[in-house]
Amino acid sequence: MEVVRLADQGDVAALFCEFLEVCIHQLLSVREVYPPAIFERRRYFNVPVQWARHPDLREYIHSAVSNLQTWIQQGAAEKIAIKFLDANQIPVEKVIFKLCLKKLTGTGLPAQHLEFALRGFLLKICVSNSALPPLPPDCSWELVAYMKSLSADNASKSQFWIPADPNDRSNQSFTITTIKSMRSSYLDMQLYVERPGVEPQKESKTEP
Amino acid sequence: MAGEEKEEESLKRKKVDNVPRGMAWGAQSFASARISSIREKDPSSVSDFGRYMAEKRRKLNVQYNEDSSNKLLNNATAAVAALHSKEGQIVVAEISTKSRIFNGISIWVDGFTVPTHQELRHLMLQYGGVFENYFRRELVTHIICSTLPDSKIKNPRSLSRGLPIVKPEWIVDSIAAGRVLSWAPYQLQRIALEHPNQRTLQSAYLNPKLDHCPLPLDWRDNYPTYSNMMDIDLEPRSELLALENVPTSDNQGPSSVQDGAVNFTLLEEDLKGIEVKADECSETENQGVLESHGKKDSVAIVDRSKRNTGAGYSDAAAAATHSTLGDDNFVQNYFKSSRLHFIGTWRNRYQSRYGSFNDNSEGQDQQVFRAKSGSDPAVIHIDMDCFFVAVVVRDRPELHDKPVAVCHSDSVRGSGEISSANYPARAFGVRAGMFVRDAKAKCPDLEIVPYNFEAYEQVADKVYNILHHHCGRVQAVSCDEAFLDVTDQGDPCQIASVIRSQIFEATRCTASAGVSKNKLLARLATRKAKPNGLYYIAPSEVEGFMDELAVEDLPGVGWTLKEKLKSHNLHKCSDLLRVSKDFLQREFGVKTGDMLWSYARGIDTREVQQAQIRKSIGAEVNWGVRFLVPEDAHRFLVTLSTEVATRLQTAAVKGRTITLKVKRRKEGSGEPSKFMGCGVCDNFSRSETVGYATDSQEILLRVAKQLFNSFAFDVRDVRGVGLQVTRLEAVGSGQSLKGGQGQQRALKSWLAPEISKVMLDESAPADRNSGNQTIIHRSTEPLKTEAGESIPVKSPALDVPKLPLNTSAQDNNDLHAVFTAAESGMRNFIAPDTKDRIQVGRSSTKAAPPPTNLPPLSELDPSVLASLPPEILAEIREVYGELAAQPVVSSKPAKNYLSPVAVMKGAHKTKTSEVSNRVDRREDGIRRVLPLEPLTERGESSRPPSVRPEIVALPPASQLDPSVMSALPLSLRRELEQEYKRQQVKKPDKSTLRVSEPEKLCVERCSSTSLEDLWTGTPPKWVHMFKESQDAEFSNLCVLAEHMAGAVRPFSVVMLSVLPHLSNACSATVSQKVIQSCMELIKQYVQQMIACDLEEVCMIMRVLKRVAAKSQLWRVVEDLITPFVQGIVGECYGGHLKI
Repeated sequence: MEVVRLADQGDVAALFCEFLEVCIHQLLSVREVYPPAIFERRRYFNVPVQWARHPDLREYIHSAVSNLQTWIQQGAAEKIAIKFLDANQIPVEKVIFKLCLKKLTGTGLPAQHLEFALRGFLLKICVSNSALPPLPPDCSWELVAYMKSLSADNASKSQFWIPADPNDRSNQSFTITTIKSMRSSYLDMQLYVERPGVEPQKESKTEP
Repeated sequence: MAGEEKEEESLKRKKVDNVPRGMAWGAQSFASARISSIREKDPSSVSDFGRYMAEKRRKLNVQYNEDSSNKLLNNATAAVAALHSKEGQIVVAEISTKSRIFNGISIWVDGFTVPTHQELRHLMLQYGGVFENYFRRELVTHIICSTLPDSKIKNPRSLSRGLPIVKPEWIVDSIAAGRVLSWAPYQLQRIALEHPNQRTLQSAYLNPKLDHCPLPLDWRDNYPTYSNMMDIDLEPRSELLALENVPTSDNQGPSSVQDGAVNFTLLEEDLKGIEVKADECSETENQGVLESHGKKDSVAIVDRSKRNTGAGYSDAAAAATHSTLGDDNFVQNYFKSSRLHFIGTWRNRYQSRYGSFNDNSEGQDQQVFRAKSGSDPAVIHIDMDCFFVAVVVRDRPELHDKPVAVCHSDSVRGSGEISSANYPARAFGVRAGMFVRDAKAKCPDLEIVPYNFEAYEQVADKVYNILHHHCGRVQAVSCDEAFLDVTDQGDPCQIASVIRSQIFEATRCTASAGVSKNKLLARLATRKAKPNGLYYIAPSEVEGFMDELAVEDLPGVGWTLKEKLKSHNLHKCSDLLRVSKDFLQREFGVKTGDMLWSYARGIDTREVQQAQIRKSIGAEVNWGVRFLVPEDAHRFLVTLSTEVATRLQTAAVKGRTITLKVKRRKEGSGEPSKFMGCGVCDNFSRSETVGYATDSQEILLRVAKQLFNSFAFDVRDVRGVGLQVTRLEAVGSGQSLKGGQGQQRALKSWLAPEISKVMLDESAPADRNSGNQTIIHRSTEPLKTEAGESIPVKSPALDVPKLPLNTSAQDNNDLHAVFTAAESGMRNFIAPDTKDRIQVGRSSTKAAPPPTNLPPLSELDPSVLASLPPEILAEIREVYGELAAQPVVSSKPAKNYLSPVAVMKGAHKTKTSEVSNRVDRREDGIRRVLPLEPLTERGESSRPPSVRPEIVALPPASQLDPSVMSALPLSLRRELEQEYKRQQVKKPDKSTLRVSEPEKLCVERCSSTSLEDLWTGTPPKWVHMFKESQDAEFSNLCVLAEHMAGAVRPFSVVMLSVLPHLSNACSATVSQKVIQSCMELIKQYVQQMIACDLEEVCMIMRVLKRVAAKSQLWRVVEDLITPFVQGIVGECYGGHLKI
């Protein structure tokens, strides 16, 4: 098999975007936002994944993610979140990809290594349902990218994206459930879920 | 090579030629100089352009000379002159006699003028002047023009190269007057306006008295000599000598000052060519300033000399000295001369002096503290009248009635900001924060004086001495402003007037005072009192007073808020009374609305606070910051971090959050108007929280560099850098200052009425003493557990959980409870009255302890005793009278170990008092450090009865924190070590001690000093550390270490794998040390992982939970580590980790 090498951050970002797209499909399926019927089974990195069949939905996800690529490459995008909203448009869950691209040196690294690591994420997503309570019915979702900084010059490339309501970053406390983390020489990535509300801490410790 | 260079040269020349003529001025003289040098080297290969220009100039000259000899022109030019002169009466016959009036003057005309370019040429021809077609600095003496474009107005120096820019009317009028008039009034209006200084200089340069005396051409020939002299011998004397050569000095009238000004002009012009060592240059400046002190015209000289480095040609050289470039000590020097820095650090100084004040004025303060009844509050606000000026002016009587302002520099551009102005100056409209040039425009006679920080310090100290003498509750707002709470001290007005007169006597500076019932009103009253007055707002007058007040006069109402209020038609405080609190809060925010509402009613609930805890320490430099390459910036960060680290160390605090602020030049904005200032900037700031509090320069530097690089700015655009450390903790404790503050309040509120002032003062100043608070608290902590829960002494496992609290985040309430317990003990010591005994009795089940629980007589601090109220003193004497027969050593509580509870209470109390005694008495390091060691019963019971009294509270060696030991002064450490050795020798180890003391000490030293960076290296450092340690207690960790060695697996996996072993390894005995090690191990691991691997953090916590179910050790660790982990997750991710 031919060894594909990732030469620079652009390659990593491209691979990541592809992966992100798959993850979004997979999450939508796992979190049961859409009826299972609209998904079909596919294979990505040799892992079975669910892939939406609706062309508009595919297009939406694809364009959103591919528009992100420059930002990811530049390291501007710090976190990418899939935000699930309930029927009243109140966020109930955020699945967050927190990433940090590394600078590649030398001849680059074989793509297989990264793919291997990313496979773990896909598998973890499959089983994440068990760690999370089910979403309420009639959910909608949106994609949110958290930027470190937004430079003006590439705004034209990403007309697709609109600035989010700053109120979104409310100070409301939330609980973090980790799904998967990865450290590699390409990028560090963490996948976790934020849900509003803090579980009551079990203060079972009595003074001795 | 040479050929290439020349080509380049000619290209440059062409470029220069392509731009409009005016623009080319700046480069012209340099370029032509270069041209000529090239020509000398190789005349054959000179560029065509250079030759062309030279030829052209030569031709024009010839032409001009021919013209000037052409008498025919005379009539025509005379007619022109008549046409344009104001009087319009020119007698043609006189022309011939006055035809040489412009001798020595050479003009160059820029742009459109009336009379025209050509006419002016004729006039010059006619009257003996020279007309230059092309601008050359060396040849032209005056620039003639009527209008200038904006770009040139902004930077007239680049255009004029120091030459006067004059309107053409000057020529015409001079001809009409038959002599050369002073050109000063003819200066181009806009330049004169924008550069008021320049006019004064130039009038010195060409004094009106010298109007009739034209400046001969040959003066220019002399100046290289002067500048050479200046360069070699920088004594002002030489200037004066040199001045004799200047032809203008033939005039008897003007003083040397004026000549000096001329000389400086000359110097300045040549500076560009000469290598000037800027340091020397500034030396001359200073000497020049000194020399001219007191002379009326000194401003002119100073102006001129400053200009050498300040503005003119030598900008580059000046930038080198006055910026971060090239000056390695920039940061230190910067802070040496910064007023803001003075004000900022003054507080530290004040607080460190605070203690000594109270020693002096104990008696008085005592009264204040006892008298605290419910009568009307009275607050005095004292504010020195224009402090910064007054202090300087008091030694210079000649300036008393003159307008004076303080400014760090008096540069010719007037770009320095005025920091304070006296009242005569304020009458002219001069305000603080104004640029000097604006101020001079308003008040041409304004005297600018430099800071005198030493004098400020002296005066401030004197003032505060007086304030403290009169009142115990002084809130220092700044070095020249303070609030005094004089409730129940008699007539506040009288106190205030006494204070004012004393301040004047002591410092010869005046102070104004406002007196009223709260801080707000007192402050407003001061405003009315100023200058040098006293104003009292009686409670009955408050309403009337407030009604009159405009909203912007309220403190806290700035420009923005004022405008907002105005937009709601709220102009006066009486308007504010009309609107509801709800409305205000809705419109302006809850806090501001509340403030406005109560201020308008004259309500101010803020107390006069004695000292505030400082929340941050940092340093910021926004002036003179210029970098060329990233290395410059990094070098700068080194010095900045050193400065901050020094400040942290001086204040004896460490901080966890490091913030870097960077000012970046706003895109498109040019060089700022303030010399080396920051100009228009965008502000950026980023911060990072480090795992543990630090004051180390290396860590600060590392984080600062990291943050700085994360901005990824072009360093050339950086105009200011600030480094700030927040979340401070007192050195030697794990408690944040916040916690300390809580305790402090508790202590204060309790102490205020009863205990001696000395105690309180120890707790008041923030930086140093919060450490003491924590000490008291910590030393009593284990005791509380024991006292409160009535647990037998000898269960080592149980005192364990509380001990490592110093490293974990602690609940404030808990602290408070502990502290109250400590207080009650202390109270009992000081005033053992019945009420207190009841309180003690509540917490213990036993009856009140016998008086034998008092500390030995030898340990009482005489100074404490001296400051006690007489009745308490009498009681103490009584008690000690009974005890007098007892030998000093045996009065220790150790002998009372009869019933556990009573013993605990007793021991608890005694120790608290011991600690407090210690705190009072010891001046050296032992005060801060020794009580840190937790005093445990185990140690005391094993202590021989004949311990020397000094180190009576010596904790067992096992409880010593080696890091504390190592931080002790050498002499002290030796003393302690000897003491331990002595004990060791005297008393054979009891069987209860598992490890002999010195050995243990040694183990501990190696383990806990090296508890840092446990996770560095592969395999991590701790693996070796714990493996090698033969201590049985580390068996837990040994197992772990064995598994970890050589493993590439994450720690959580390793930990899980050792789970079965751990359960066996766990015994009943767990020492604090092991817990500490485990804690550190996990803590550092989490810190390392938190940013990049949340999953692992979650995993480790889950594993820990499982392990905790099996092992007591790990349960304790888990309890302690969980809040920490949740805290750090909250910091990094803003949420709560689900474990």
